Amino acid sequence: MVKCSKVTWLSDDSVQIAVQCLCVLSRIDHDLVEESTGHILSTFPSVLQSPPGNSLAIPAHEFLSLALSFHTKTRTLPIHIFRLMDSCTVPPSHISSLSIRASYDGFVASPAFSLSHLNKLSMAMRTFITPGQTLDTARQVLVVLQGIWERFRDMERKVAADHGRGSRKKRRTSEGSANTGREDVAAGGVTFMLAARIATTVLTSLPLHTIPETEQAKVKTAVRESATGFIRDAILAGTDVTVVESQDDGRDAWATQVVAAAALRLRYMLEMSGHARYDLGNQNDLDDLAAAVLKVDDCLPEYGVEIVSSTHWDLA
Amino acid sequence: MTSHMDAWLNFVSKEKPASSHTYKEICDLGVELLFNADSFKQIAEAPSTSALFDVLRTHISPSSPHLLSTLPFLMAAFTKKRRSLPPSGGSSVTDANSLAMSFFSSCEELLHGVGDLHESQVWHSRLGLLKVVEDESVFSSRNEKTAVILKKEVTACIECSASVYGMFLW
Repeated sequence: MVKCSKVTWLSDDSVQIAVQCLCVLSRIDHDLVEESTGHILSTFPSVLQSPPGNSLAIPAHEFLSLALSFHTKTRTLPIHIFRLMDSCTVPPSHISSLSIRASYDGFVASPAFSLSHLNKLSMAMRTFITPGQTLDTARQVLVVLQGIWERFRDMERKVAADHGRGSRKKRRTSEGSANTGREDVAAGGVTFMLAARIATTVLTSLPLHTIPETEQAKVKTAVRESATGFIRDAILAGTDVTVVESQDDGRDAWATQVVAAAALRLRYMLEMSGHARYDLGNQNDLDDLAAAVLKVDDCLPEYGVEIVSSTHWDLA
Repeated sequence: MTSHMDAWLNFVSKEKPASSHTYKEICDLGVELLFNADSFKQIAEAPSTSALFDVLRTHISPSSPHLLSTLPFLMAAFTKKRRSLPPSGGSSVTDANSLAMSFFSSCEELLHGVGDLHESQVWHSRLGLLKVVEDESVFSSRNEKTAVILKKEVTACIECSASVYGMFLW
């Protein structure tokens, strides 16, 4: 829930020290910060958009490690995973100071989504997720990601409808309102991209070998259903917006490509996972995607990379 | 000691802890004079209104924010000195730790008194105080009162880190 709290603009130095204080408090007794860890993690992606982001990254990394360590010791990793996914929610730029596009690189580079943290999370998953937690964790991660996708898709449809297309009656909206809507869609797209990174790490690191075959089959079924369901929809939405993009339909091609790239990456990583060994079945989406990237010059670079990766893998 | 407090605090704040033998001697001498059985008793009974904190409030004010850096030093010295005293009247390690947390809490009141104008020095001092709590292991989760004190610190930290990017978050 968003609420305006007491705002005092503090210096960057103070914020860095505040995060250091949280690390000390965690080391004193992690239970002191445990209830607030969700809020703390939620501040990190945005805090790191500020000018001293690099200096803040060090204590933020330490806090993430401390929280991960606590949940491995207490065998409560799913709690930490869902807090990380919740922390992916990106505030629309109209309640912060930078546009989502301008902040995009910073969000991607924030500590929770860095390679070092995701590697630590992966190692912890392989060792400390208990057999009883494996199936529920897989299902819940997919449910959360699907929810984020559906919210993005609904926002996108609403913006398109407000612009005069789609199922809703055409109506004019003010330019400010339209921009707000597009920023909401962009925020939703980046939220999906960040959450997909956590989901990828979790789903490709589940210790399936520790659970009975019947449970393994349930996990793989859940993953396959998602891959052929909402993940496929997200990929095809990217194809659609790229190939038949109209400058006047109100849709945000950038946000949709961010989502499609993340969905492609997720699908690719699931298919390639030697650890989990998911079989997603053949899909013929990639021909359209390859055609799209050949036709469009201003394609989001990472989207192009993901299309090429997926196509290369498909041909292999 | 009271009449020399300002000069002593300024000396402590300006010198680096390991800078000289003389520095250490002057610090130790001040600690010996400040922390004794009477001051421990006063702080145990009513920390905020004890003579020590009355003096500290006089000297550590918005006009002298640099003296905030002395608070972690004072707390560490207080905690070590209290532990070095022989147990008396049924006092225990738990009592000593609880007393140290009372000292911490009173230092926090001083930090609030200095206000937002010097928030950078306030946060440096707060971090130093928390490190003393960590290094001296004075916190016990079984003591609910001290848990409440440190949870307020958590809240202050989150408000600070959330404020940097605007006015979102719960």
